[in-house]
This record gives sequence, structure tokens and C-alpha cells, in this order.
Amino acid sequence: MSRRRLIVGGLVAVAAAVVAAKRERLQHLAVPVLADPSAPRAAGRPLDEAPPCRTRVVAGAPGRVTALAVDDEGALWIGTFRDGLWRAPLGGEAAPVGALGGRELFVDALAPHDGRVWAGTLRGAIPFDRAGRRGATALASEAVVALAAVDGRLYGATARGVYALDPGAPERLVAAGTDGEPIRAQALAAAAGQLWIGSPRGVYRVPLDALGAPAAAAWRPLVFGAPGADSDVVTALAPFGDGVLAGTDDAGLAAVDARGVRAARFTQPRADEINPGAALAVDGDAWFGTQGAGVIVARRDGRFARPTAWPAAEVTALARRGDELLAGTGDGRVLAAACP
Amino acid sequence: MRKHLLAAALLSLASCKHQQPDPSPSPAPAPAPAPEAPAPRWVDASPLRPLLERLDGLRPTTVDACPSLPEPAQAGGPALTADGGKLEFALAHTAVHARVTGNLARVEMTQLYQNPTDRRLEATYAFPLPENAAVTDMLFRIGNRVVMSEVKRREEARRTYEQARDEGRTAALTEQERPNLFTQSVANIPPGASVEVVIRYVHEVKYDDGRYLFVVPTTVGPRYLPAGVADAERIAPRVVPAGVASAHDLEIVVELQPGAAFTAPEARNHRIRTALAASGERMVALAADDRVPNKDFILSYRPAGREPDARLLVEKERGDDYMMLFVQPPAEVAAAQVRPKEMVFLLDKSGSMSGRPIETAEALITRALDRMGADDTFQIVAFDSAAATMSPQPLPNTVENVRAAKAWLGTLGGGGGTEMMAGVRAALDPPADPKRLRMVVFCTDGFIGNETEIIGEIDRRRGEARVFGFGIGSSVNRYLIEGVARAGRGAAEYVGERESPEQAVARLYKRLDRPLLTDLALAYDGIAPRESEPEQLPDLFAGQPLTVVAKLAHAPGRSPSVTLTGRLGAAAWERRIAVDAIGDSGGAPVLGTLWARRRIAALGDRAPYQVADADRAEIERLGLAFKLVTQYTSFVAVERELRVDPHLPLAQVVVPNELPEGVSREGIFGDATEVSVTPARVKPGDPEIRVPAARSARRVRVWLPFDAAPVEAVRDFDAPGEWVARFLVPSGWPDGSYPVRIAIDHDDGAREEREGALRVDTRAAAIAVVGAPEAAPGGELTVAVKPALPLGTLAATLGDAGRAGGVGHALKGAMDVKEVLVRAPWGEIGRAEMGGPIGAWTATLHVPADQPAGKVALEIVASDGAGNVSRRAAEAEIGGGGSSHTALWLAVIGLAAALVLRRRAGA
Repeated sequence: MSRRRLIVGGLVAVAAAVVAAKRERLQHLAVPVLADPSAPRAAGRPLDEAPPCRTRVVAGAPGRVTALAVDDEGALWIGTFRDGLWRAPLGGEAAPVGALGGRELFVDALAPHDGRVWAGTLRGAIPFDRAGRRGATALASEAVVALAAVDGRLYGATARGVYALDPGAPERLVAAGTDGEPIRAQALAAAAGQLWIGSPRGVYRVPLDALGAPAAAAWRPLVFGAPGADSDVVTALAPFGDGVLAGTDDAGLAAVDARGVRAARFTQPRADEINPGAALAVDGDAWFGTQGAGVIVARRDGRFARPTAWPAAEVTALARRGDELLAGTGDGRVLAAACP
Repeated sequence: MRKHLLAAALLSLASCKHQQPDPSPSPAPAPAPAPEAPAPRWVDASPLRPLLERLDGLRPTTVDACPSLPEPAQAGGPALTADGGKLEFALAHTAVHARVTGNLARVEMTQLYQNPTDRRLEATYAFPLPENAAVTDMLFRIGNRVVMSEVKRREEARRTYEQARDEGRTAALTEQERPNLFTQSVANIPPGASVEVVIRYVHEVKYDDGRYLFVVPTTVGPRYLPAGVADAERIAPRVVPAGVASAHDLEIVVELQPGAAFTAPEARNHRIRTALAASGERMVALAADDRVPNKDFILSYRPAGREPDARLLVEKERGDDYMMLFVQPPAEVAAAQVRPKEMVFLLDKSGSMSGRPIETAEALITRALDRMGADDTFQIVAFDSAAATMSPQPLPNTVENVRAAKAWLGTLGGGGGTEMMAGVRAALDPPADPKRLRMVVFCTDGFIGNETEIIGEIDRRRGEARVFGFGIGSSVNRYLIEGVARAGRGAAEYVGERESPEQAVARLYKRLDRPLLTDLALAYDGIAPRESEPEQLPDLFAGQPLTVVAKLAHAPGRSPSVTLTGRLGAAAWERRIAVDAIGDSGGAPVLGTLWARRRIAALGDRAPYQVADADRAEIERLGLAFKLVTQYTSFVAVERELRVDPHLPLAQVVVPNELPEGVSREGIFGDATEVSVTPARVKPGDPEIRVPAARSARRVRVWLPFDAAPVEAVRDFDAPGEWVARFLVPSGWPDGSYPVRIAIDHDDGAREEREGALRVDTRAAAIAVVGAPEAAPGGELTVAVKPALPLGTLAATLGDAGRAGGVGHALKGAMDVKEVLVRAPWGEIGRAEMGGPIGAWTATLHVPADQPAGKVALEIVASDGAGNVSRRAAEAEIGGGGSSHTALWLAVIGLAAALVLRRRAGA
């Protein structure tokens, strides 16, 4: 046997032994390549300039606003990032609501339902009556990060799927995709007879009429489309056309419907970064709050625009009261905006 | 990059391994051209470059320049993340240039701040200075502008600064927290730009036992904060997290003037280069490979000739005449009768002393025990969260007792809090032995926040005892040690990580055994001082000089002299000393400034708990009149031009300090794994941090790199014993690892400090396709991919090898892949699964039976744990005869390459 063959054989034996002994670690090793083969990110498009909105500050909270809701008395409910829940009666000052503690102070979602306002917190979903008295917590061991009231039912998004927060015991209705993969739900919207679920790996949908019992959801990754998005992390959903418009963490918006996925990035700084839960459908348009470009609006005709002279760079929550758009900001303000 | 340039500039000096005899000064040849180096990223030129280039041209004189030091770690240590491996943020560089004339040092410190974010940035940095530094000026440079500071009352200066910050104007503020701890704030550093802050200070250089000691402290140790420390937040700077090195580095150049007057320069903790310049200075520079700011720079040197018995400096400053008198007591003050001693060794064994510091302290005490006199007695008091004594009362110096003491010492380990007050009381409160003089040797690193209380307590309780402050470690809190020695009428001594305890013990006993001059008074002949500092002369030990600074009523006469009187032991002692050298300080007048600095310190020391209103007013007046930073006056500088968009979000960062060399991280912060950040790698978003804490915890706060203010954590009712803090990583925050500091306040008022790290990751892994996918129509198309390491980022990634887990861990971290999706042109999306011996991600697609033969384009998307996505295109061949075996071969090649890389990194 030649010396060369001996060396090669020895190397192979050593490599095999190392593979056997260090398999767990070696599995993660990478293949050296000369140049990065990744495709560049898609170019953004400029947002149209929309006419300015007339804005005024209507309420304030001690910290970052994460959710807004208006109850049937017109009072404004303000969820905050780590300062609990606040309520501002029409024309009045905001005051803290409920005796929240621990992770209940981290409010991510608000939804009026059955005459009460439900707060999705990192420690369950908690209903409050108009006087601010809290009811029994649902899903106390879960973080409820999004809520959607649809056809008389309230759905909550959690890391273990979507629950119907029915009186009595909440029921987990959507836990997995059609391939059995678990769904980490973080945004919800109802449109075109479907419950749409935003997740860190794209969008799922399940027919609303199938939600009488647990159901599997169909998956649509955002990264494949015409064009695909540069992120699958969905932060907010709004009904749009015959589907939804998904806001992503740093890749702009993606329309998802029966025709597939169509992503749009923008050239304005931070317009691609949609804040969690900051989405609102208004008369066929979809509004989104961004991390640095104020609010952006997707018109039903497919144009994207940004109202000029918007007074807050970071819009973290959206709601509607009458004809006005309500916008929560990163610094704790709530703005009321009348936009043409 | 810049380091390489500077290293090249220094290379013609001899290293410590190639020492050469001391030559005479030589004319400077033209500097050798520096090798070509990559363009610096942030720093175009070091402020010390001209000096270093001068040094470059000189012949080395390094015979005694370097003690036998171990090879230091490279500045910054192993790399981490895309930033080249370090915590590269906000403060990039500090340059210190000192001119030392006699026992006076004029120092200019330049801090270079940079803003890698796309926000406007405010940086806050707690930094150390010598405990006797008089900070005389601050300015900053931005672009081609130089913005000078003005001195204001502290609150007013802060208001001015905050208003400028809110208006979007670049501004800088220098505040004093302790005499040796300052805070520099810089607001509105524009995105992508840098700001240089220049701080100037003067100080007296300590002269002791025939050597000068010039010190530049470089880091602030994490301090134990007992209950009641009002400014705890301001004096507890963050520490660079475990496994990460700060990209902040340090340059020091010292010019000793005139060079011929000094000899034998030695750096205790660092490697240095030194040379005599043609113009007469002796230049000393920090070696290029020893620039981590994690230990005091201590330069000692001797006068080349005999020091005069008395030297007088006279200067006019701000309209008044000032003098500095330097008196060296005659050498005939020698040992006469040694009185028996009651030795009390007071040992700090708190968490910060864990590891090498406590080993050094124990070695020191062990040797000190061996050198006790036959009639001496001894006691050992050790303290952390509480104090403990070795025996109920002091023990005679017998072989058995000393052996038992050494055994007891061996049982002590570092850990717990630093309730120094309990230790001080346990050492000083027992009844004094009338036959013996109590000598307390107080061994500590001084990492506490209640220095004034400790110094005041020693002053109140010491009685006839003398307390010697013994600073242990590489970055001692010298304000505490000097204060302990002053209040305890003892002396301050230091022993570093790399020093022999024997030498330190020898120095200590020289002091303990030799009589000292007490009740000193000075009478002047031909000099008319007024308002002398110190007002009350201290006791002197052998080898210690006396330095007095005063205003002068008029210029000195021709042949002035002083008469020093006092007591030597019990006997009266008197010497008349001619002032045989009169001059000035050798530069811009500073004697008035030093007088004011001494006076401010004396006023502050009168009632450290509660400074009287009149004393406070006088401190303010002196600070404003002499333009000095004091506890009540600050420097503020505001740029008139608006250089940043005030509507940009403001990012606030606190610059962390390096953990002092030799200090045990676990001893202070506990096990870092106790703190978890979820998710561990995040894109900008809202992760949370979980902190397990004892039941006694009543408040947990978390300091993040993005905000100056802490985040309050809340109890997690579902996980008893755990606290959780929710926070946001601001969008646009640069990738890298960042320190997270946690403070846990307990019911009893004690505070526990921990740390964690947060890794921001916005980079997606690249993907390599293993082999050439091919399949027949109607068959299965298998696509195998692996994370790819583009060679352009290889160096940065391998730099991670120093972290736990080695290269494998580093590669895994750099190429984290959580999901791989492959889409075929016929619309099918395949989700890959990882498996096989090499961990390839393999997706299986089903080729339609009617798919025409030929090449098809595949779209491959990989996402990592933080949600970052990379996509690439690939081709597959339809019509072939099944899967290729090429994949296997390429996989083996990849594996072999990875093994080679691993071996090289290990080597």
C-alpha cells in the first residue's frame, strides 16, 4: 500500500472517529465558501405622501403604549408595555385600571367583547368591566399577545396556538399547521371567512366555520411570493381585500390572499418595521404603526402612503373612535387623528 | 487596525526580551515607515501619534524598564461577533499624555466616543482618576470644531447639559462622584460620527522611600453598596460581560522632564517602552500589546541624583503667589527602640476579593506573621457580609499560634458582601493593650461605595492605634486606602497582582519598626506662607517626605530655610533645613490649583457625613474661581451649531468598565448562567430577562445598554423566586453582545449585583448547497444544504474561539439556522430537516411526472433563531437518473475543512 493511501486512509479514519465522538457539535459546522451566495434584499419603494392628518393628544400613559381599545361608553383603554392598563373616560385623564401585578403589567392586546374590555397580558387574558373591576383570568399560564373578537367569540393568540376564550374553560382550537407543526400565534385577524394567524414563520389561516372544534391551519410563508418578503416574522395583521395584509418585523408589508403573497418594502427609514399589534382596517384601507416612520396606510387600490407631518415617529398601537384614528406612541401618548 | 499602526510605530524600541544598555541621547532619525495597514474605521489619528512617532525614532533605554511580567493578553482579547469580536461600542479609545516634572504631573486624557447607530447617541462613562487629581479643563472636538467648557455649579451644569441634549445640540458634562471617580456624559453624538472629549488634570506625584509613583487608574471595580449609599447608581459602573472583551483600548505616553533627573523607570503592571529624547525628556509609553484598560498603570522611577533636603517651588497664579515646599526628613531618623505591637490583620474576604486578591492578601499576612517581634501579639479579623475574629482575644506570637493562624487563613475563601464597617469595628473596638501599640493592617481592594463613612469611622474609633491601608489588587480604590491611612495615622501601601508579597511585607515592617516623627510643626525663615495645606502636619514614617502647599504673603528671601520640630518616639526632635533649590513647576502655573485642590479635600473631610453649608459654599467658590471639577461644580460644554436632527430617537448607552485584572467575576456577580435572556439571540424587539432571586429580594432592577435608567423587574407569580423584566431592543441597534447589569435589593438593605449578556443578531446565516440536486420526472428531488461560512467573515467568527464551547460553539453561533425552506418552480414548498452525520438540512420535493427535462430554478430560504432570513437561488437538473453522490463528497470536504479550522484556532 502506498504511503499516500495510508495517509488518506488515516485521515478518513480520524475523521470518522471525530464524527462519531463529536457528532452533536460537528453537525453544526459550516461549509466554507469563497463568497456569500445569499441574494441581496429586495429594494424598497418610496411611500406616497398623503395629506397631513389633524392630530391632538387625547391621553397619556406612563410608558410605551402597546394596545388601544374604545368601550361602548367611548372611554379609551390603554395597554402599556410594562406599566399595566389605563382607562381614560371621554374627555378625562387616564387612570390605572385593575389590580395588576407581575407579568399582568405587560399588556399586549385589548379587545372589547361581551360588554367588557379584555386585556391580553403576558399572564393571561383578563376581562374588565366599565368600572375597571377585573373578572376571572383566562389562560393564566399563557402569554396572550393578540385578541380578536369575531362573530361573538373572542380568540386569543398564544405561543401554543389560538384559543377561544369562551365563558368557562378556554378551548384551544388551533394548535398546529396541516403538517402538524406547532403554531406560535402572535397576531390575529378575521377576513374573507377565515381566521388569519400571524406567526414568526408566516401566516396561517383556518375557516371560521371550522372553529367549532380544534382544526389544523393552512400555512403560507411570506418569504415566497411575487415578490416574497425578507422576513417571515408577522407582527400585525389587518383585513385587506379578500385576504390580509401582514406587517412584519423588518421587511415591510405582505399581502396574503388566494393569489399568494405580494411583499412590499419601503425606502423611508423604519417604515419596514411594523410594531406588534399596530394594525387597523378602516374602510377598506389598512393602517399600520411603524417603529420610526409614523403611520403608513395601504390603500385598497394597492398604493402605499404616509401622512406627512405626522407628529410621532414610533406608532405602537392603533384603534378607531368615531371618525378619528387613535394612535399610541412609544413615549406614552395617545393621539387622535383626523385624516382626509 | 489603529492598534496595528501604533504597534508599528513603536517597533524600533527594544522589547523587554531584548534589553539593551542605557545609551546617551541620540538624535532622532527619520521615523521608519509604518507598514501598510487597513484604513482605520473610526479613528483617523491618535492624539498621541506625534509623540509615539518621536519615540519611534529614539534608541531604547529599557534596561530596567520592564519587570518580569507575563505576556499580557492582546488588547481586546478574543473577538466576538461581526464587530471583530469585542464589545465595540460608544467609547473606542482613551489616550493619556502626561508631562511629569518633579513631583507634579500635568495630564491630558482624550476619550474618543463613536456612534455606530443611526440614532443620536448619549454616552455616559464612569471613569477613574488619581484620588488627588485636580481636573482643570474639559473640551470636546466634533468635526473640525473645538468646543470649550465652562465651570458651573453642579445642578446648573446638568440643567445646561440636559437642555442642550433635548435641543439636539452636542454637549459634554464632567461631574465628580468621588475624588477618584468621575462621570463623563456626551450627548447628541451624530449617527456615524465621533466626538473626542479632552480632560485635563494636574496632580502631585507620590514620593515614598526614594521612588516616585505616577499612577493612571484605568478601570473602576464593581462596588459593594451597603444600605444607605445615596448615590449608589452613579458610583456603580457597569462591567463588560463575561466572555467579551471591550474594544475600548488605552494609550499612555509619559514624558519625565528633565529626563536626566530620573532613572530606573519601572511599570508595575504593564509592559512599557522607554527612551531618552534628544530634547531631554525621558519618554515612557505603554507597550502596543498591553493596552487593555483593566489595571492601574503604575510608573515608578528614582531621582537620578540626591534629592535636596528641601525644595521650594514658587509661582503666581490667578493674582496670588503660591508655594510648594517639599521637605525630606534627614536620614539619621533611624530605628531606636521598637515598642511591642498588637498586630491586627483586618482582611476583606468579600466577593470582589475572590481568587487572586485574597490569595495575595493571605500570603501577605502569612509573611507578616513570620516577621512579628517576640513580644508582639496578633489577631486576625476577616469580614464579608459579617465580621469574624480568629480568636476571642489577641494571641501571643508563638509557633503554635502562628501555625493555627495560618491554618485559619487557609479556610477563608472570598464571597459575600462587603460590610466593611463591621470589620473596622471588630478590629478597633476591643480594649487596647496598654503594653503594646495596636497596628491595624487593613487589606482590601476598596470596592465599596461608602468610603466616607469608613474613613470617618476609623478616625473616630482608632484611639492610639495606627491603621495602615493595604490596597490589594490591580485596580485598587486608592481614595479609600489613602483615606484609611490618613485617618488611621498610618501609611498607605499597595501590592499588585504581579508583585511579591515579601517586598510588600518588608516595606510594611520598615514602617512598623522604625520610629516616626509626630507632632510636627514647621517654622519658616525667609518664607511667609499663609493658609497652608495641610493645616495640621501629618506624622511621618521613615522615607516619607513632607509636602506643604500655601499661599505666600510675599516672595521668598534669598536663602530661605525651614525648621522642622516634632517628637521622635518620646524625645523632642528638631532640624533646620536649608531650602537649597528654588524654582517653579516647569510649565503653566499650577501651584494655586493644587492648593485649591488640597483645600477642597480638607473641607470635604471635615465632616464627611454631612458637609457643613459654609464648607460647601467655600468648595463651590474655590471650584468656580479655579475652574475645578468638585463634588459641587462641574464642567459643561455645548456646541452652538445644531449637528443632529433633534427629532431622531435618542439612544442612551452606559459605557462599561473592564473587570479589574485578577478579580473573580463569579465572586462578585455569582454564576452568570443564573440570568437568562429570552430569546438568547434577538432581533430588535421585546425580549425579557429572567432573574432568580432569594425570597428576601424586594426589588430587582436591570440596566440595559440602551438606556441610562434601569428597568424595574416584576415578580413572576408563576415561577416563584423569579423576577422578570421586559425590555425593548431599539430598532437599528448594532449587532453584538451587550452587558446587562442586575441589582437585587434585599429586605435588609443589602444589594446583590449580577450580570448577564444580551446578544443582538440581525445577520442571517448564508446557505451552501451540498452537491448538485437532480431527479427524474415523477421522482423525488433531494436538496441538501448546510450553513455556509463565507471566508470574508471567517476571521471574525474564529475570533469567537475564546468563548465557552470553543470554535465549534462560535461557528454554531455565527451560522445558526432554525428552518430551511425550498420552493420549486411547480409551487411545492419543502421544509428541510436536519440530520445525517454532518448535520445537513435536507428537503425532499416531488417532481411532477410532466415536468420537462432540463434545469429548474430553486429558491432556498433559511431563517435563524432570531428570525433573520437569507435567501439564495439554486439549480436542479430534471431528467437525470437520481440523486447525486457528489453531495456526500462535498460534505466530507466541508467537514475536513472545518476540522482544519478548528485545529488552527486551537493552536
